[in-house]
Amino acid sequence: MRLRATSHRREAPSPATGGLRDLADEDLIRLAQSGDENAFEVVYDRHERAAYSLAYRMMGAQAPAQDVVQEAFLSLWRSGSHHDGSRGSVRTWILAVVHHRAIDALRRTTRHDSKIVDDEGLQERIEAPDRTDVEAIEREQSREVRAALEALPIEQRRVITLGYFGGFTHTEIAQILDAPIGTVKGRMRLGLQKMRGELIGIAGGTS
Amino acid sequence: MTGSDDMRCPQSDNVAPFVLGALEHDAIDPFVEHLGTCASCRAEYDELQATATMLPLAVEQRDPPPEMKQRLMAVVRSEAELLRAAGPDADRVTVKPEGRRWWARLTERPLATALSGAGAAAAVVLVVVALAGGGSDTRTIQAQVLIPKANAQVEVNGGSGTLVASGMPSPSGGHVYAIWTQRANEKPRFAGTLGATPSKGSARATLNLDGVRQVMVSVEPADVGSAPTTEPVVTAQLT
Repeated sequence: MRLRATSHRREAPSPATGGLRDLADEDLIRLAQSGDENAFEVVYDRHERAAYSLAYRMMGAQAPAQDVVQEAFLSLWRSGSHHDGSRGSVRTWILAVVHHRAIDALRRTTRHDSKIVDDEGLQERIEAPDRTDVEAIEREQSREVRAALEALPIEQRRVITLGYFGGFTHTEIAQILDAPIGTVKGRMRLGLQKMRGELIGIAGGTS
Repeated sequence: MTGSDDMRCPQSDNVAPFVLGALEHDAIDPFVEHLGTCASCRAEYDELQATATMLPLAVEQRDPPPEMKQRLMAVVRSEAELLRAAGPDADRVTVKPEGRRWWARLTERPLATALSGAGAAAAVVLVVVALAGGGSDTRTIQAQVLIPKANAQVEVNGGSGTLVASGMPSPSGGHVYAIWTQRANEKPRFAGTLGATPSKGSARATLNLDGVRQVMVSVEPADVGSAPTTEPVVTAQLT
């Protein structure tokens, strides 16, 4: 059994989850897939903040962000989804589900185009008061990713931001920016490649 | 391969929009298929996807409201209890939606119900289709309902019928219960909405059931689309 150094727990844990909190995410996911709600709760506790933060960034308000997170975690719980460790960490996997749920939610609502999606949010500070090593590492990674995104030429940063956080399609982005579709696709690719170069040290996704 | 532009696959322009979730919906399925056969695009996908998965780190971290966990875990615990009661052969989800979202292939298996709201705990229920005489030409079909304490049935009379539901909690803000009818070899069709049921009493919806094999209810945004986007919370098999 692998051990995990810490968790992102914010709420009081259930007594039943005590020993589970030492397990790695991958082990907990396996237990959750067999119907162990306490294992699922520990996974939720570890990743709810990141999931909610991403959903809030995309949806722009608390209530729809909560709906997205709830839908995402319930889908993981109910589907018995299989986590493929070769394709990234459990956190990466969970955040991908949250991201796609948010995109679905954005695209089926009419308020899609009214949401503010630009670069200003990237200037916001992370205020988490956590002191654990793992959280310190994650804050540093977060700072590096923000720096890599902010370092992009504005036209590359904009298409990535509109696409990933805004839920806009490349065609919509081309209309918003009055740019050819091919140009938008090219900027996305160049921007991601440039970020990859900046982030090569933490490549492999979120942990 | 990906570093040499003159050797790039013409479809590689879709890799970046795809990993960002920004590819047009109609282009997704063909591109997913293409990814399975094009080593060049797959290599570029692996490269760009690794970067895209780090983008969530760029957002401001926020503490979620405590009720979010309480609401979720109430549903999860309720389902876990029902799973245990149903035994080892019980499956968690018995009904798959007609269509699967593109990303489901990469991230998860069958989609789950998008129910939210206090007390809206979904249950795993064995499909029970009970035929009971409600009158000389009327038959009543008990529906599979994934909401504890809720009940639904379809009263069929010739080519028409009535969906009768009780104990259904109000969907979360901006959502409705959408009714879908499905005929043989057809996709579900939107057939109206079902109001929230009062605490005592029932909500009813009259339906055209000519040729219909299945009636479903799913939770949808108020501007209901042309197809269900979540798994049904009510399913009645008419044939």
